Amino acid sequence: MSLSLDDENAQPEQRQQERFAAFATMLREGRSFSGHERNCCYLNPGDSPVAGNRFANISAASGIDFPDDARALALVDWDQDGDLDLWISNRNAPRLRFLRNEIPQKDSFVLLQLIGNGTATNRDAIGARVELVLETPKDETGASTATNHFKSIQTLRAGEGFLAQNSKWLHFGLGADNRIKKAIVDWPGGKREEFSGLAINSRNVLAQGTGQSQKPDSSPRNIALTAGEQPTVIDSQTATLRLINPVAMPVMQYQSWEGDDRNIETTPGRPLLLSLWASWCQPCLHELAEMTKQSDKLRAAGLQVVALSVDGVGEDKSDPALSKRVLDSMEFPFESGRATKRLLHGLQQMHDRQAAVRRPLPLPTSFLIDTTGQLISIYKGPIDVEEILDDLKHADESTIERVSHAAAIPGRVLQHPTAREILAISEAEHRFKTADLFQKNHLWKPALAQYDDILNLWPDWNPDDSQIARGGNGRNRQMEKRRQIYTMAYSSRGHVHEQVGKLEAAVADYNKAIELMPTDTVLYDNRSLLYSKLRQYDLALKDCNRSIELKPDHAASYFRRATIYQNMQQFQLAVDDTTKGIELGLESSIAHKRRGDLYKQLGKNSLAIADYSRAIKLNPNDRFAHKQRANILAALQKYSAALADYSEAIDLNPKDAEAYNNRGQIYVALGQFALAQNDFATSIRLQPENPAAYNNLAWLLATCSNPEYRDGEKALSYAKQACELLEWKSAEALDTLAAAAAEAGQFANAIKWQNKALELATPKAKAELRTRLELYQAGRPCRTEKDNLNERSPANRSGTE
Amino acid sequence: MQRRRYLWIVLTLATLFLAAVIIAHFARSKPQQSISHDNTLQTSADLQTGQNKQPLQGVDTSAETPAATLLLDNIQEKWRRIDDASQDGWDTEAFTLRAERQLKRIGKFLTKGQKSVPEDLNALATDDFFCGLLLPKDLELVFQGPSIAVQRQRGAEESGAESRTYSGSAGLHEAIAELARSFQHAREIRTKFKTIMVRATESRVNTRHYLEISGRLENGTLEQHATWDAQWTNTPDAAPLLTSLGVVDFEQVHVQAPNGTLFADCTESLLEQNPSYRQQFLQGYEHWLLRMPHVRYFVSLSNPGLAVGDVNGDGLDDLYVCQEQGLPNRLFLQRQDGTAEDVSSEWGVDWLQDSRSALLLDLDNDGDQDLVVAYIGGLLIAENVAGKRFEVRTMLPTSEDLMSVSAADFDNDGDVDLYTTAYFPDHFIEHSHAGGLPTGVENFVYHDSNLGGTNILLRNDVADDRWDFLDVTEQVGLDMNNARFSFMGSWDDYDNDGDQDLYVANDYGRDNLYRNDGGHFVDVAEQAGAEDAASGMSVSWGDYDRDGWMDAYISNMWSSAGKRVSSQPQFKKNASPDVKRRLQRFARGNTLLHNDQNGGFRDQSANAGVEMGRWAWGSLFADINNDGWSDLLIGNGYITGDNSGGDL
Repeated sequence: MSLSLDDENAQPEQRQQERFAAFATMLREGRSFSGHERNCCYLNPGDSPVAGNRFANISAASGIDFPDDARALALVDWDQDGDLDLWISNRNAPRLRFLRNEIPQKDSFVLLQLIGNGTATNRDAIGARVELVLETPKDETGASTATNHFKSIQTLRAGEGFLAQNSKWLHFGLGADNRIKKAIVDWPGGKREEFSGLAINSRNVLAQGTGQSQKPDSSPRNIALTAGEQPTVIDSQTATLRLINPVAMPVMQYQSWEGDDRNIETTPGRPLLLSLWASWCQPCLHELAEMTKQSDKLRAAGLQVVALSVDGVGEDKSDPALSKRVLDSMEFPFESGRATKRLLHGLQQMHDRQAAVRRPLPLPTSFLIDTTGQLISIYKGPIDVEEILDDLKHADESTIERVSHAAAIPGRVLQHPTAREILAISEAEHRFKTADLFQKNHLWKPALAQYDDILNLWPDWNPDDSQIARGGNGRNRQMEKRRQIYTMAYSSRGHVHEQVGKLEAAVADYNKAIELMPTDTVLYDNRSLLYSKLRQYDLALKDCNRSIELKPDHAASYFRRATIYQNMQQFQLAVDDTTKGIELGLESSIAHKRRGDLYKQLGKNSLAIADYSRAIKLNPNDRFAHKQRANILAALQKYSAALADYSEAIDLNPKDAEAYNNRGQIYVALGQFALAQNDFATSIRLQPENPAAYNNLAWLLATCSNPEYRDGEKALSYAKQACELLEWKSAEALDTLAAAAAEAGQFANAIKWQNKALELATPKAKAELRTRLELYQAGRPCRTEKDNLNERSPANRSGTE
Repeated sequence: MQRRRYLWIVLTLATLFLAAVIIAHFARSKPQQSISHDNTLQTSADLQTGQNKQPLQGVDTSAETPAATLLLDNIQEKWRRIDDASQDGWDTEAFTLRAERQLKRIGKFLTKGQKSVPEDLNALATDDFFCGLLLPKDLELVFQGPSIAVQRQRGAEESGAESRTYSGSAGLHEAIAELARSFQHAREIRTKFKTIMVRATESRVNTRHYLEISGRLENGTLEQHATWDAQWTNTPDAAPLLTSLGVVDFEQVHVQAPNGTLFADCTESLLEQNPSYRQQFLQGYEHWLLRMPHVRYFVSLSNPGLAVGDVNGDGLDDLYVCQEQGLPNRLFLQRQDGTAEDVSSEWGVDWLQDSRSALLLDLDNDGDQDLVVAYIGGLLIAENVAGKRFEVRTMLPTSEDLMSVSAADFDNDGDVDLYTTAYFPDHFIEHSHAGGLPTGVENFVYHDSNLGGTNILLRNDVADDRWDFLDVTEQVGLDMNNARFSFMGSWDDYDNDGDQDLYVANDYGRDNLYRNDGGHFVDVAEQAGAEDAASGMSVSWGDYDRDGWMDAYISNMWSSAGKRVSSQPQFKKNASPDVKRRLQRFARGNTLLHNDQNGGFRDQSANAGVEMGRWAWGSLFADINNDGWSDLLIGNGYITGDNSGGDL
């Protein structure tokens, strides 16, 4: 509780979430919680002057203080001896207790039954208030002692305590020597009426309108109840779980004795029993022997058996070879092999999903899969062949029949349409959960089967029927529910289709979902994303627009639409939507960075810088924002600012080759050639496949204004690597190579490469290349002034994204 | 963005789990060692993490073997870590564990009766330990009935008895031995210590304890309830030693009854002739859970509602029992000799679906008892046909997580109407799939949640052969504050104006008190002082002080750990005083609301001493000794599973 939320807007603490999770798991696993608590009983001391209205704790003396998990308590004078007996229902055993009131020497009482006239007042007289008026006690002189100013009232209620209804006989304790004067009844819907003739220490019937108490018909009773501890029945771990809604069993693998992976697959038309056992488990051995003995019967039923030993799986130290010998020695007539850890995980999960509670599977455990590949039963403990054959007979029954068959104790299934509807909803919920488990494990086919089953729950349902009056009565609520279920099933199935790349099928399902729930923005969002994936941006845009129309204040939708606009090269619209998203409250470094990128695309450098700066403020650790800002700053020749950003980016990720390369460029511009060489070299080391740093380093080595940093041979080598990586198709790299050749004194080569560069160069760049060609033709190398960074196209600074 | 989600599934989840979690943080869990087996397999219960360890153990089919408890190591370990109070800075909780270990030795000494030896109490107290009488002299008789006597310690000013002082270890032994003397002839002696306050200073720790001792006598029972203030040495690693003990409060009850107690369990003699008794009712819910396929809503709670009524008109009350998924509901007809016959099948009421509660009442005013059963998703209405069977007339779709049903003629038109409560809101998929974890309920406010289910008032429009009921919740104003986690609604005329008002007990916060103003309702809980914001489980009406006005008793949770933790300054340090008070209130326990005869209620729980009801469910006013004064009965206990876990 020390971690609970102060209000609905508070941010939950991680530890609280963790506790919730762990606690829920504990409960599913059957742990105790506030268990073994003893029921309580408090005695009202009445008008005792010294008790000070304080009740006395008589829990132990009352005898109701069983350490049960009690739930409902209901009062009734069951044995009609004038005191209140008690029924208690429990969560644990015994689940029912009848506690007979055995107070010796008890005070007087009356019991009253009320009968309403059935017109003004309901027959049961539920809601009637009875006041019992007692004769005022008199002392020896006959004077009224008038001590008893206390009232005696009771109301006849139906439903109180916890999930309980008491007897309709109203019970009044009277204490010692009291005489009843009359009873005043306030009949609900009727008038106040006085009754006389009430008999003390007995039962009285008060019928509305008679004014006179009557004696009920009754014969003397010979009560045959005796006190005694209730028997304890030993619980057993052996249990059969029969599924109400069979589910497609995913294909799992086991290992053959030779060590190959084998699929556990049903042959169409043949059921399969998958049995887990271990050589050290006596009941398992009995089970195998039993299967061997009854193999004819099992075969006659068409049953395939696969017995998988868990010997040596996980931490188990037993020798799997032993289990093989066990089977051989009993001439086990069915398929066998070894379970794997993965298989056990899968089976445990399958069980946990189908069962009400999660419990570790015991040994032996068997899974029964019917002829259509559906899991129908899980036997926790040794199997009984007859039981299996019987379960197979019930495999393809209707849900109603399966509810009956799955019941732990026979009974009848409530068949009212409302009850059927609840069963169908329950099935849908269950299949969604099962599908979810499958999806998490990438078992797409059985997941799809679940959605197909859900979409078959109400084959005759026409969604238009439920267009009328939403909310309202229960029937409409049911129809709404169906609509939700179908919508969700289409949407989820579409999602699976999308996952497996069946994009057309996904679109079809999304369409269906939207048809059913045309106001759900999530559906449009999902379809919009799918359309984007299909590069159908106009359709994506349309869905996104619809989503925004429905929920104009949903910031995320604007970001989503900005992405679509970006893909459509509509940068200004993308900027506008990003702005809208930020205005609607989703300000984040990511949003600003994205808008900065868009501004950059639009050539609005100062706006871009402002956005990157904001992004950095919101998240100082965002190295991309630092780099993006640096790139623009560099372009604007604000080198020291750019340098700071690149350095920050490098601090944030010392393995960022690109940042080193770009910073190297800045160092060049600032004339700090040693640092520049260093950065280029680091960049090359971190990302040897990126030509940019080779090219930049080669250029520096070839053309640096300071001879100290020039080295023609090295420049040639780096320039060649750049050309190589760019497949000799880059004018720039060739330009560099030419400069390197010139620096190395190889003017013929320099002229050759420079001509080649000119062939590949853009018209805009040609003038500059020609200038250099002329230098080489004149036998002069190329020299760079220290701050002419921008003379060379910045294309060799690689992009940031 | 999420690719697959629905808004209506967001607010789901087992929120009683949440209540429990929070208390869990209070209650010190005492996990058992899991059973280790030579052939334990390491497998995973969760493909995602792949690190769970779970034993796969052979089932021993021999009947003598008690049910093996197969615990999952991983969660146990995780829980141990989570529940380690010292992790959260609650060193006092760790201290409490150590102190309670010491107190258990006193408890053991007391239960051993004459076999106790002084050595049992060795090394419990310091040399300078001192205390007065633990069994106060000169007790005052505060109640004397024909078979019940209650005595209490007098207040200090009235007590003329000179107080003795005991000192040192020997003194402690002597004082305890004197206390034990009351029980020297008793059997089945039980003791229980609860620590309800702990305050540490550097050298000493002060604690307050709640103590129960009881034992069976020849013809009755003796029980004592005391509150002790203790002081201990504060030694972080060693067992703490007592430096002083004082009795704050002492009450002794002596009851005379032939079977030892006022009530005696006669269930077996009443039901044994029915196969269903042994087959169905002698196995706990945990047993059935192993056999139960997928169930919706609140799986672990268990909800066997009870309804009493005379269904065959023979003048004897009968019993209807609700049961969970896969277990048939049962109707037991009472015979003349008080035993009962299971007629569920003949009467057509042994339905297998998941039911929670029921009512037996005359819906069509034809003079016999019809049957109403609250199921998940719908309210079943069955007509009594000739006192021989029930026939389903309708099943009304309602909220899904239906809990209780109660009846009253709210509009005074001569027929009874039905009110249903729902705990969880309708949902479709549990929010989280991995074991129903409520990790996603982000805006759930434990002390004041409005994310619960919808309660519904169904007006009785039964006429001729039409069994119609109309949802009039909105129409009559009962849609006000109608999104709480409602367990139980109960009707009575609390303002004595001739119509039926309605109290609704809600979990996670405020209750409702709907005042009926001529058929229209207003929730006046707040202004009437009846909100009782806590973990409301049940409500019972009764005029306990006999002033002619109905009072109410509401079940909540009493948590000693919660009291210890929430009363300390560092508890929710940054929360507002209001939030803090509300949270502290949650550990306090049950509530007795006294009707002030002027439309309001005064909380008398503490004065009346009726707060302690543990993790309470059904509680009822009942005059059990016929003296005209309503006593209180409280059923409690959340989940007794595998013997692990803490308790309140």
